[in-house]
Amino acid sequence: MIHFKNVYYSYPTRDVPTINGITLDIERGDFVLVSGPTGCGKTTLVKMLNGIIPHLSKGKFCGELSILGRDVCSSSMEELTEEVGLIFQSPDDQIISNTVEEEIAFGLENLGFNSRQITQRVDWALKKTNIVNLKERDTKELSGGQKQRVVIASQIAMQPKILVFDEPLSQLDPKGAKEVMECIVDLNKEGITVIIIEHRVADIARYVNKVLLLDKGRVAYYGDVKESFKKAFLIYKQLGVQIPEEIKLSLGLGIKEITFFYEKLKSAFENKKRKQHLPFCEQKLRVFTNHSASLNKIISLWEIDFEYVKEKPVLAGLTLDFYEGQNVALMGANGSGKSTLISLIAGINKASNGVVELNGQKVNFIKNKQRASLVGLLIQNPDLMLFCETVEKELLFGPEHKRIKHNEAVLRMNNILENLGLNEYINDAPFALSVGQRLRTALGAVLTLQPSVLLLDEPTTGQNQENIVKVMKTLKGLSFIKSIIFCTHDIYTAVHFADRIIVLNSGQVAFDGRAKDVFNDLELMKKNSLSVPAPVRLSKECGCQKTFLTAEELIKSFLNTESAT
Amino acid sequence: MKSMALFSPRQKIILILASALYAISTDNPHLMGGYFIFMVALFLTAGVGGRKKQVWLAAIVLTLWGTIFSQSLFYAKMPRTILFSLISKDTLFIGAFTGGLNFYKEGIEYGFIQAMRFGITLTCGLLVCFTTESKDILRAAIRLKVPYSLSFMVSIGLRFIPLIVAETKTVISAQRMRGFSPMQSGLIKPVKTARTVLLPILVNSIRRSSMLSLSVESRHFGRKQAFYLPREKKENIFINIALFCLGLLIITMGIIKMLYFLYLSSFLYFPELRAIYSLAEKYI
Repeated sequence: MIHFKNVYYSYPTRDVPTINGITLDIERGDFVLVSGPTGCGKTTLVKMLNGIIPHLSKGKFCGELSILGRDVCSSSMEELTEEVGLIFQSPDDQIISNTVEEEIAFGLENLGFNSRQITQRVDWALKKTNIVNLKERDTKELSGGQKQRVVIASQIAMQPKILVFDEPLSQLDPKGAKEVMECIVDLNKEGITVIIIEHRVADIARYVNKVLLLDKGRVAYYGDVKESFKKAFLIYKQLGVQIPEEIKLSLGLGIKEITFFYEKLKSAFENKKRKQHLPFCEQKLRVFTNHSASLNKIISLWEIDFEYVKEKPVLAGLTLDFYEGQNVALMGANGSGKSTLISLIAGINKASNGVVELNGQKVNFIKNKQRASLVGLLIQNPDLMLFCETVEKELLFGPEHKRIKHNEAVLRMNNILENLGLNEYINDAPFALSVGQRLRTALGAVLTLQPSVLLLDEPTTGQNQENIVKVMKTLKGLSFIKSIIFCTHDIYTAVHFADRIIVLNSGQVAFDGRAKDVFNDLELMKKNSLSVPAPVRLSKECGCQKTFLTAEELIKSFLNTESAT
Repeated sequence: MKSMALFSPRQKIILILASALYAISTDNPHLMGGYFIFMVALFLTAGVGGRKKQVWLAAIVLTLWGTIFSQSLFYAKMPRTILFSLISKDTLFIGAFTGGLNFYKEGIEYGFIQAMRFGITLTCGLLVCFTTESKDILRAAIRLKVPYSLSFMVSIGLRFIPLIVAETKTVISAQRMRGFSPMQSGLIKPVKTARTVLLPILVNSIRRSSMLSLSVESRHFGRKQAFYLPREKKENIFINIALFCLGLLIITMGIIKMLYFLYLSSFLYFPELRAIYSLAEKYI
C-alpha cells in the first residue's frame, strides 16, 4: 500500500539528510506506530505521505515512494490528499468552523459534494467517531478529546484509505486520549490504514500491529510490535523511546509471553509466583519526603477562590501549603484548575478571594525582579518564552535585567548549558532548535535566575521520554531549587519524580499525599482521569505487602526475593 | 432586541464598507459626529459583552484623545487661532528652540474630524467582528463576490484573533517572570518591549498558520466551493432599505464633493451648479 525504497530527503538549509535511506512497506489495514527521538525525521515522513514533500518543499528528494500504487513525485497533491488524511497535534490549529457539523462538511464542500451527499457523509463520520451528540455544538466549547475526534471526523468524511496522525494525544488528558484511541482503533478495524506518530508509546503500543523506530532519518526497527520489545529492547532504550510498564514487567519478570494487557500479565505473574512459591518481601526502595510541620513552608495558599468567567469558579476555597525539599505533581482532568493554581503561585493571576504567600510575602505585592529569583515558571508552550537571537542571549536575558554582574551571569549560564546539554547550541537561534532543545532553552532561561521554586506547566507535552527524564533529573540536581511544582497528566513522570501528588477536581483538592497513596483509591483515580500504572495494580492485586510504583522497583524486589530463596 | 441581530453577515459587511466610505466622503463635523453617535448607539445596543465593551472603549478613548490632542498642537495650516500656549515663544531657551507650543482652535476642529473618521471605522469594524462568526463572514464575503481564498484568509484571521490576544498575555506574563517589565515608558524601552513580545507571537503564528495550511490543504482547500448549510437567515428588508439609502447618500455626497473639488481646482465650473457648490461648502 505504501512503498518506500531508498528514500532520501534533505531540507534546503541542512547538509545531513533528514530522511536517510528508508526502505519499507506498509500493508493495507496496518496500524503502524512511528516513534523515535526528536529530530529523527518522523514529521518529515508524514509530509511525504500526502505529497507536501516533494511537491511543496524545496529540499532534495530521491528514491522511490508510492502510495496505493501512485508514485508520489508524479502524482499531484490533490490526488494524494484524496487517499491520505492528515491529523495533527493541536486540534485548535486545525478547526476552522463554528460548529462541528460545518467543520466536518468543510472538506466535502471543497470536493464539490451537494448538500444531500454532504449531510449523509457528515452523519456517517459523526457515527464513526461516536460524536453524534456533538453535531450542532460550537467547536470552541468542546473538550480536547472531543475536538480531536471532530478533526478525525472531518478527515474520514472524505473517506481516505490512509490516516496519518502526528502526535494526536500529546495535549490530551488520559480520558481524552482513551476516547481518541478507541475511535482510531475502530477506524482501523474498518480497514483504514493508520500511521500514528507518538511519544506516548505506552498509550498506543497495545493497539498497533507494527512499530517503526526512526533514528537520524534511518529505520532503527520496523516490524511486529511485540517482537520489537523482544528484539529491539536496547534500541528503545538507546533512543529514549518510552517502553510500556506492562512490557517492562513481562520482560523483567521473565514471563514467557510478553503482553500489553494487564489481565494477562496478572495471571502470568500469579502463575510464576505460585510455581516458585515466592513470598513477596518488602524492600525499602524509595524514600518519601513527608510534608510535615518539620519542613519549612515555602508557599502558602489560603481559602483561594478564582474565576475567569463570573459564576464559573475554577478554584473554590482552596487551601494548600508547599514545603522546601518537596517535588509536587499537580494532577487532574483538563479544566480541574492545575494551570490556574500555577499561575496564582507565579503571581500572574490574582485570586478573587484568599491569600497566596511566597516565603511569607503576599505574592502580588512582590516586584517582578524580586519575584523572578523566588519563583520561575516554564509555561506549557515554551516557544512563547523565546525571543532572543541566540541561546546565549536568551539565557543571559534574565540575569541582565536583574542587574546581576556579567561574570556571575556567564558563570550561571555555563553551568546551566552544561546541565541541560545545550553547550553546542549556544550560538544557535532558539527558534531553529528541535522541540526538546527549545524546551531546555526556555527552561535554561528561567534557571539562570536561580529561582527557589520552579513551576512547570505540563513540561512533558510533546516531549519524548528521554527528554523528560533528562530534564527532570537535571532539575532535581540543582542545589538552588528548593521545590519543584509541576502539572502533568503523565502518571509516569509524576510517580518517578514527585514526592507528593495533589489531585485537583473542579478547583478543589481531591487528594493530597504521597504518590503511592493516591493509588489506594482506584475510584478517585478513575474520577479524575488518572490511569493506574501496571506495577501498582499488580502489587495491589497480587498480594504484595508494598505498593510498587514503577516496573523497575517491582522487578528488583521480585528478583531479590527469587535469589534469596 | 439586539441591534446587530437585525443584520445578516452580508449586510454587516456592506455596513462596514458604507461607513468607511461615509467617513472619507465628508468633512462636516456635525455629520461626522452624528454618524459616530449612531455607530456608538448601535454598538451599545448590540449585546456585546462587558469585556469587549472595555476593549472598544479603551481603543476609542485613546484614538479620539490622541488624534485631537496631536492635531490641536501640530496644526500647520493657516489661518489658525491660538487658544492658549503651553510654551510661549518668549520663554527662555525653549521658546526660541520650539518656536512656541500652542493649542489651535482650527487644530481641534480638524483633529475632531480625523478622530471621528477613526472612531466610526473602528467602532463599526469591532462591532462586526464581535457579533459575527468567522464562517458567516466567509459566506457573506463570497456572496459579495470577494475571491474565495481572500475571504477565507480574512475569516480565518478573525477567528484566530482571540488566540493571539491570549498568547500575548502569556508572553507578557512569562517575561515578567524573568524580571522584565514589558510596560515601560521612555523612547527605547517600548521598542524593546514590542520586539520581545511580538517575536514569539509572530514565530508561533507562523508555525500555526503552516499547520493550518497543511490541515486545509489536506481537505482539498479551494478545489471547489460548494456550500453546505446555506444557513444565512432571511435579510431584514428595512435594513436593506436603510443600507440602500445610506449608499445613495454616500454616492450623492461623493459626487457633490467631487464637483466642488473640480470647481475649487478651477478645472470644471458650471454656473448652474452654484447651489450645489454652496451645499458642499456649508454641509459636506
